[in-house]
Amino acid sequence: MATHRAHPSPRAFVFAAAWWDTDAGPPRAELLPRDVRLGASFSARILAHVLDRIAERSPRPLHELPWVLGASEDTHELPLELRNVLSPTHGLACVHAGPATVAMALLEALGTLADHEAVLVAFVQGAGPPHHDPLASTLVLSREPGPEPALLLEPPALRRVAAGPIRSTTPFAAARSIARAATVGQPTVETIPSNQLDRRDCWQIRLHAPG
Amino acid sequence: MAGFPITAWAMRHPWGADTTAVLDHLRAPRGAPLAATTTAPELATSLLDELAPACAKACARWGASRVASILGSAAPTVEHPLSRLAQTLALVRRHTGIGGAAYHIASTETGGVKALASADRMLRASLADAVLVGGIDDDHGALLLVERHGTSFVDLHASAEATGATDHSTLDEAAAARTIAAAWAVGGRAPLGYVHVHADDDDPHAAAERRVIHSVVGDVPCCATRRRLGSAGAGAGAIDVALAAASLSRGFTPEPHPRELEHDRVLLHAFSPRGHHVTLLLEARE
Repeated sequence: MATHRAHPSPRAFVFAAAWWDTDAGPPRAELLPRDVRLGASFSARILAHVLDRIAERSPRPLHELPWVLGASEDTHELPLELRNVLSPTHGLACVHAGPATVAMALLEALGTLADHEAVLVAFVQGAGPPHHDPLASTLVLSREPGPEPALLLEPPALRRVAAGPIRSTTPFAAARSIARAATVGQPTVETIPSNQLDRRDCWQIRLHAPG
Repeated sequence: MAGFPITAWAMRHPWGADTTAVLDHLRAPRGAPLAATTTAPELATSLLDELAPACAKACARWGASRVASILGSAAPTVEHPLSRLAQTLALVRRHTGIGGAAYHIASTETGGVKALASADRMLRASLADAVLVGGIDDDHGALLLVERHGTSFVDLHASAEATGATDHSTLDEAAAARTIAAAWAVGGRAPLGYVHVHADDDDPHAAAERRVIHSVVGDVPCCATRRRLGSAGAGAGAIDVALAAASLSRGFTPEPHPRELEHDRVLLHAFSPRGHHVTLLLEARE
């Protein structure tokens, strides 16, 4: 919600992060009531799993944060089961940008920090389309650092590269890498294709230690 | 605090190829809206051709990578999958040379307005210096160019968003009130010329939307254009914004019996069946 027009730093601290992939075993999704969980889609369950993991470390209750959802072919809106349970009240943006969705959702989230102290960014893809691995990843980004050491996320930037990145069979793999790096405090630079398929520009997402 | 100038806009509708024609038609109807004849890609090409010179100027001024494009769209369907949205982004690049961030905000009925709110935040956060925004459906749509500085008649002065209950039968009045109050507060609660509302008079949510507006901003004229224009998708929101901006330029409300605007500010509220609420504050420049 816009309550002022401060000029925040476009950088953000990764306050908390969580991810789920097939190595993590069956998603528990305990955020959802049992009867809802049983009927929920697989995407809803893996997203509920990571949101449950991140909730206790979030600076604010999840429903009080604005949400940005990186949209995939199978999950282009927040699953209704989660919507009903969590009831986000401070805005929800579903971002789609093809192969660049991770970078664009992070930019949308950084823009959201112009109005809010923190923002939740989530990515989820179910099993389809063919050959895609299921994955869910979520980050809470904040203007200010929390009590724990946190890495800084720079705004994704276009960079010319000698050879474009290989297109992953997991389009949101960069989101998992960022969540994993943030969790262990390991700086990283993720490179993902831009939408400009005729050019060698890629989006680079840089996570680094403050200072 | 000053807003961001809307330095160019273009719209298409069966009633006419620009905001003047549509506003004139609203004032003096010449029949029902025409049947749909233009596909979204054709319409996008036409809009982008019109705005290409303004976009080229923005790219030259700010650098192409600092000019973003954010398009609102309806929630994807089988007929209109996500891949179709990527094609529209490619059209934008090809016709305008814009080389910065480019993405869609998917939200049925509010996508075009949410794109403006995203652009406002992106400019405030210095993530871009100019943003081409809007929404395009089959047969109608609008695009607007918002810049950090520039010559224009109208500023995008504030934006606010909230998410409310998803019950289609009831408008979440608290969520609506939060966005309206927040956007208006950014503008110093200055008097408004009118409020561009989402729900037309015969919409089941009309009474609730007007009740919220009057409770927050007082007794201000409300105008809705969606039903008369026969538009409801993401492009409808962008058209609303373009008509509100044009109304400020002309000094009259956009309705069959236009009233002269007593104040140079318009608040625009939109909501979606999924409970998204967006409010923008537009202001005429001195």
